[in-house]
Amino acid sequence: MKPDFVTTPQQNNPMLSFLDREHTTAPPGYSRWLVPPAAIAVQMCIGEIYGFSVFNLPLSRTLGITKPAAGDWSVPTIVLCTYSLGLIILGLSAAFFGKWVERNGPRKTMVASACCFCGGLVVASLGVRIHSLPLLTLGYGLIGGIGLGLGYIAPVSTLVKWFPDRPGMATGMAIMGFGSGALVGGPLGVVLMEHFKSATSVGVSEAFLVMAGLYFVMMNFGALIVRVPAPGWVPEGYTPSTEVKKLVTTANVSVDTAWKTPQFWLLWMVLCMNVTAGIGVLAQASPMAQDMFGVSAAAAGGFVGLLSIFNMGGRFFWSSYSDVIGRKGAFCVYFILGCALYLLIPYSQKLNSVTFFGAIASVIISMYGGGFATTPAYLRDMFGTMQVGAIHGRVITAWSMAAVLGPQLVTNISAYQKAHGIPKEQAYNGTMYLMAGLLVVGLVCNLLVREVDPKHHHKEWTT
Amino acid sequence: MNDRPQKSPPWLIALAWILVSLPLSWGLYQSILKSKPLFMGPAPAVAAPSPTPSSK
Repeated sequence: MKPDFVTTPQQNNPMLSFLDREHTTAPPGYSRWLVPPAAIAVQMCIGEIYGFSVFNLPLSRTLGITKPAAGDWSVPTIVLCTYSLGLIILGLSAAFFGKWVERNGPRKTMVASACCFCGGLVVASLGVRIHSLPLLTLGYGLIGGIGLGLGYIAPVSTLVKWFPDRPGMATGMAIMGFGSGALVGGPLGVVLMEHFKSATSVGVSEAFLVMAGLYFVMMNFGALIVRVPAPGWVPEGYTPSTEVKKLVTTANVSVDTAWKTPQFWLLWMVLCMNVTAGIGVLAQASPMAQDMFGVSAAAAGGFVGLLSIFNMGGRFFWSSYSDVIGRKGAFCVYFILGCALYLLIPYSQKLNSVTFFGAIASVIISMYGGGFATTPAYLRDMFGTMQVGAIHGRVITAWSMAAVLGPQLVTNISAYQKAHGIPKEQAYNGTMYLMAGLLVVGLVCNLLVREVDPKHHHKEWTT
Repeated sequence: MNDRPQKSPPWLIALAWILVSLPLSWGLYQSILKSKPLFMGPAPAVAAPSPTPSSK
């Protein structure tokens, strides 16, 4: 059998052409079950941004080492220049590079993502070492953010093409990888900082360097094993359904056309509302648990860890479930059940039941993750597989918007209520009602989604 | 010449899944450990150094 990387005769640089889309086509007999671990390997690494908060306090005393000194960065500045900027650039780069990703295939994109994300960590490490905020911003926020955007959308269209029978489960596995980034990246960062801290260093710079090396190996492992299916390939024993489903198209819509359709903007709103509401709990989980139930800071930290597990698990569970009930049905569940659960949170405080509150918040966060994972499959159903990665890239800008909007809403409303004399255990009630309202908006947008007008279908490409 | 397609070796599939499962399991274990205090009831008050140890 001819190895798949020598199938095209013209090669100028074998090393670089190995990365091209045409040299990534799977040979006959290649198992599609190699693609999900390839996707998870990349997503798990870039998902480290979810665990970045473990670096906040150490970064705020890089000069003072044991406590912040004059000239040290403040935590809000660090969060803005790294976490927030990284997520904003993620959305923008996913939107901007989406077509490039479709053209060049998953392997080249994954390698580019590894170079940007890990290179960004190296630059950020240097920034910490010489205490340069612009360098930290450039490394983690800008260069790293581009790596995030590329890595996030790279495997999506590939997985959708490999699993036409279970697209929700396939994208769920990949996006679950991103959710798991906090579970791995956070503790890894803590272990590395503990190992490297000394009288002259908080250990962040060294931790960034080691993480860059580990992540680079892991991400390139993913790039090495990923393949795209040969044109016309279908899974063994799978016969595409001949039954016409209203909201599952067999046609394709190009990215340039898709974003001009009402369906694109309705789905943009659906994702934006789901994420904004989810962040409402996620961003305030620790102070909410402490203020509403008087739990210790350690227990509240554990609560955040618990939510991370549900955030990860929900991505796989709900997205797989959407293969059964359909994407529109799945989002209806997220919005209706989510709305009811948000309204129950003030009641859990009245009962003073932290277990009840924990259960409610866990289900809400599982659906927050589920929304992320179901979106690519929803886009595939509406716009086909031709440029679903690029379309997904543009929809991801909704996440960037929500990442700014959500925490601002929650923080300001609860602060306003506290300032107006409302007891701290009740200060979050208004926010919860607002989040329920946002979910109602999302539900309306979801209910308005109809199939794309055939006039938008691409003429030369059919699945 | 053998024209039968060469299937991906099962060990490669297993290795790929193990490579991603190992860090994932470690992270999951760490998070479960960290969330234990939430289910252990209110923590006993930490004895803070006090100038008057006998005061209640």
